[in-house]
Amino acid sequence: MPNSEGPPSFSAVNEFKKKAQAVSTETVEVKGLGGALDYLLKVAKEASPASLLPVSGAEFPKASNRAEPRKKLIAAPGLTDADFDRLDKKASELGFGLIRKGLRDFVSGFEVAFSVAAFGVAETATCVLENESEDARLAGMLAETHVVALDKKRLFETSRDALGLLEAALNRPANFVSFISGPSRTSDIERVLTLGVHGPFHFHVALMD
Amino acid sequence: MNGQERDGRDYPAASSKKYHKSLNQALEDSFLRKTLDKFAVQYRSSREAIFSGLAEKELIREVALAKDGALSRIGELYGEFAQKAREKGLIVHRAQTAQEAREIISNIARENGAKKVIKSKSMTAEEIDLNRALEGAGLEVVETDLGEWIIQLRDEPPSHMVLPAIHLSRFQVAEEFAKLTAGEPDTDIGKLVKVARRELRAKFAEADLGVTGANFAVAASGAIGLCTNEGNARLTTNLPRIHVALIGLDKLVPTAAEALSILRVLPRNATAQPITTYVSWLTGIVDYGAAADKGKIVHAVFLDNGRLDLIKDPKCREVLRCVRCGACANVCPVFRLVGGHRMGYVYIGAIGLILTYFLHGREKAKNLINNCVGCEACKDVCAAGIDLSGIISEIRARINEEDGAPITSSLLSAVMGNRDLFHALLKYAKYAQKPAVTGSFVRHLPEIVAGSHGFRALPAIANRSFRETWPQLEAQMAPKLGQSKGPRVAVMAGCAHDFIYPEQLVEAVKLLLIKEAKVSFPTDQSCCGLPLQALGQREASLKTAKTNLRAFAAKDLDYVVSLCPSCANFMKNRYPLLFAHDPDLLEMAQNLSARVIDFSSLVKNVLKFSPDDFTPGSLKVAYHSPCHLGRGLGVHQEPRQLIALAGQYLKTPEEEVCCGFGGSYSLKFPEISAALMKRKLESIDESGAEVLVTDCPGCVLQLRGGEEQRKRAKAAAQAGGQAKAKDYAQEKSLKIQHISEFLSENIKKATK
Repeated sequence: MPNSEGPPSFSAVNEFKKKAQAVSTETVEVKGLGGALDYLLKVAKEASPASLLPVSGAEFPKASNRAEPRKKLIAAPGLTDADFDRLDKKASELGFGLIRKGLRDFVSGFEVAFSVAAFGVAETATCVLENESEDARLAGMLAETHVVALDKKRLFETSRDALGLLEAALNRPANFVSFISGPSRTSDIERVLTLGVHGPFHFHVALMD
Repeated sequence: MNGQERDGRDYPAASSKKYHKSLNQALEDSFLRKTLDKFAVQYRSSREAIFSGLAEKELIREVALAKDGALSRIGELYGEFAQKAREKGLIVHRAQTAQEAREIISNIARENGAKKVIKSKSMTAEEIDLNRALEGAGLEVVETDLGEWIIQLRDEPPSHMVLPAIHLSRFQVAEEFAKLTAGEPDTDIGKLVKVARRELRAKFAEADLGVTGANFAVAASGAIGLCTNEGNARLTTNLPRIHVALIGLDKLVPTAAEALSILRVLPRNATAQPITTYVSWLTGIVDYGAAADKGKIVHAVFLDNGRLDLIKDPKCREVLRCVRCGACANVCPVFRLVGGHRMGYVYIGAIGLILTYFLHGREKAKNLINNCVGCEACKDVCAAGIDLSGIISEIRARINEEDGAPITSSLLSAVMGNRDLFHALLKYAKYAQKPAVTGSFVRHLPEIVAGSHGFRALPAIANRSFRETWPQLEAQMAPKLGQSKGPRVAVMAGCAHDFIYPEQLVEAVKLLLIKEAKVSFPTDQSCCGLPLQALGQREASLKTAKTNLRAFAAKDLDYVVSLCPSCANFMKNRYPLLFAHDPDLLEMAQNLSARVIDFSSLVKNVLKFSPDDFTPGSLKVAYHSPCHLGRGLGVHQEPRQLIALAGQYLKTPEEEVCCGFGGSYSLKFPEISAALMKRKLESIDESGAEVLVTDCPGCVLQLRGGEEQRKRAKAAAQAGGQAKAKDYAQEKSLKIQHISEFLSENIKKATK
């Protein structure tokens, strides 16, 4: 059980890391949000340029008019202004573009998205995101790599232990709650597991102290 | 949908003749056979791994309770959901029929000027044939689940509820994709998936209406839950301005707690995953960025389409517990051979056989419903603990009652329902078969008689039935029985042992006497009733069952043993259900049920045979677990332990897979029965075992008959044509024994 006053549960963290491995989720332990953002930049450096493949017959309505070559993009819609500005400074030094609004214009995809999880579940290596705003929702759907920061103190053993939080989230006037446990996957052709069919190819969780 | 054929689509089970033709085609499809074989084996082991360390049966019970609770107040839950969701801005509809649901959704599209529709996979949308309706209204409709998109491009229905394109190879997919990309087909699966990502992302970008199903509709918050691995439901609900969720009324749950209970079992059972990659919970109207002046529109369309009637049906309402995991197909030995297109009209597997009847009508179901071998693997694996095999029998009975039974099954039931007539006829058959008998088998039957049933040699009716042998046996035993202190055990012979294999029963009685059991044989017993039940002959089945309640009513019996686990399972687990309506008979049925025991459990646990009792043979002995012993009675260890006591037990990988007998099933679907039997014998060949022991006369009949036929075929091939009996008698073959024969053969001589 998480306890916002006490230390994080090490067994839950270990369980999360173990279960994450089985579902192709990369995990890393970091110091606070700063550590998570540094990790994000490291992932962005290593990320391949987004596929942005032209579509047979038609072009994407909006994203296609972006000039090539272009900067790698990071979407981080959930950050506070101060955090966003700090990240933007570092990102531009590294030659990355940072966006937080109008993600619908990037429907063909971009390199990396960053989100902060509301809570997590160790048993299934699940990050739970609550995103009322469209940009926050789309970030993790359109990016080819998704980095999620999860506070260790908000890590539960099982989903049932977090029932109260889930119910509270669903009782809000409007909400989109996502349980995410790994990169997008399919086994629809000859039951061969393939990552990255509609959502991200890569999923990273930065477990924050 | 009742009675209405889907435009232009072929339905394999439309007629019996067509169905058999289609089944034979499937059996010839080597890709399908290989794929489904691999799938069955992998699914079994990965499911076992994913449930290890969890109280599987407890989790399943929780799902059953959660669903039963919800179903019992479905109207109230609908009202609660509708109120909450409307408060939050959703538009909530309730459609009584498939037609109404199609109209509601077409109207939503028209009123909002939508042109392009994207969908994430929904079996409920398949149920109402939504795509054709929307296309008919001039809309472009694109499926976005990869498998579902592939079959849409090919204009086929799904062949599995979770893996809709499992019947297709990468080459077939590549061929289809090449038409879109106007390039050379590339058969690399990774590249094929990228083609889908690219093509479908463009469709997402253009769509103005997204249709999804729902895994949960949470009444307390008016929220819906959606499970996907690909993430397509996320894009479907977020990119277009309008979202329509089509939800079966059975998806309502009171709170998120019940949804989480289901979520613990559903992905584990469906694909052996701890959880699907994405579970999305949607509530209210979230912001929509593309048109500030218009905003998001969300409709929830609840579908009845026969569900409320089904809730009022006490024998079958538990069908609505189904969470659509597809596991009943994954473990079905028939699905493994012929694939999903031949195992349901829209829904597939055991639940498909059932839902075809309830949702799509008797006409669509009447051939399909017979294609269940009765092995109960589905019931055993079901995420919601639905008695799938029992409900399939119930539907057969209803179809017989509604439509009139086929003449053969009525005739059989008239005969079997009358004990004296049945026994007299068997006696007659014994003489009538004489000219055709070689050893213990009926000799080669003329092709016109045997037809597709020639896959196994049929056993001859025994010269002396067990009931004819009994007086002599009893007289021999009398001195010993008088002083015995052991348990009082009555023998339920069952038709197969009484008339075909009485020698197995005689060996069993000898074993029981070694441990001083007081054995009796109530001669007024009859057929257990299961074969009649399987044919949908409810009344005749009840009649024979009642005969047995009286035959075994003696108060001083400790056990009623049957060497046939199908009889034992039927008497133990079904009799109390058959007589639930009559308190007196129910009490008798419960008394009998409590005393019924299978042979292996009696020998191992009650009579406590030990290593000291046996001189183990040196041959390697494989075991075939009869469906109704393992899954039916839950007896797994005892027969294996006994084999290890009396011989060299060799574990083989498919011990618990059905041999294909299934009683009258093997007469109705000989092509499938033969394929199952062949697979079983081949797996024993591969193991190097020299003896195959099983615990059921039906399995012995099937496997010995198949082995005999293999031997004949081999001799014929060597002799370059029709082999003579003496030729094949010399062929080496696998020894197949009932466990009573095997144990008796290896008992220590001094003990005997």
